[in-house]
Amino acid sequence: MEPGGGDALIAQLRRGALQYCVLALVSDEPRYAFDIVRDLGSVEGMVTSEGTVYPLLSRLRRDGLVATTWRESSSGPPRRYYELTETGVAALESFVTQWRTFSSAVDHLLAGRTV
Amino acid sequence: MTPGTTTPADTAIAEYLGDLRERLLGLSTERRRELVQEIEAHIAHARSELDDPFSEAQVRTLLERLGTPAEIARAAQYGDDAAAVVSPPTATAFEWREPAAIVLLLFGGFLALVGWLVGLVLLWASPRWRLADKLVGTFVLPGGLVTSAVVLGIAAPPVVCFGTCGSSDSGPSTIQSVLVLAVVVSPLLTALYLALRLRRAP
Repeated sequence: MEPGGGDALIAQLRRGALQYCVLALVSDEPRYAFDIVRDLGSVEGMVTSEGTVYPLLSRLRRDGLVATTWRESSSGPPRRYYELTETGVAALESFVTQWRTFSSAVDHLLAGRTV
Repeated sequence: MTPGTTTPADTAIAEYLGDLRERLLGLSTERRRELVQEIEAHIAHARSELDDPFSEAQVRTLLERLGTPAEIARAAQYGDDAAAVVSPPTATAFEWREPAAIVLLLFGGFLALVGWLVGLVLLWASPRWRLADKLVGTFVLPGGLVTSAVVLGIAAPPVVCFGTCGSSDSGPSTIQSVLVLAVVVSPLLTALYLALRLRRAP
């Protein structure tokens, strides 16, 4: 284990968790891509470039985890909305369960540290 | 805004999208077109929410938040989502050639000059010194300290005997002494000079 290896690990975790965060953002109702991107961008430390979320959305769609619909917009061209598919719902639920177990385990073991 | 007028903000966006399109040439036409359209739509929407949609500064800030076309293209090509971690540059291995050159130029002359010649070769082969440095290293002083020793050996007797062995009563002039001293010390100064030159960024 090398010093600074934590950075790489966190980056990997972030990359892996990001897609599930996207799924979570559209789990309640279909949402407009721009809003998804903005919500993610507003959370400290999640995405460094908002534009990279679009390829991710595209991949989630190709993998069948989300589906898109077009809706007319009063303020401009039609907008693309993303929503979870059944596969997406299942994937998200599975991740949430595992994440909660994992993160609370880590928190527990790190508890009491001031640094 | 008058239709048909292109502002610097528009130009910045057009350049950005053009750059993005170019970088996505590795993708299928369909995927590329779709991604560019989405980014374009994103920019249009974000721009409409700016305090001043025609401010070049605000538009550029918007584009920065979006990320560089390179980052987006990378995410598209490798299925990465967040921007890739930048790995720190690998530390360069210790370069022995330059220190060896300095040492050999200084002391190598005592090995029947062969050591000095090897130092000379290393000096000239190194990419880390400029031509001027190499010339200094060669000619100040050829042979290094061995030459200094020789010069000292030749010059010392007249320099160090004051009045007791000189033919003229003036003896060795101060200038001569200083000159001899300078010649003797010069290889050390050259070594120092070459070492300092190494510290400059490559």
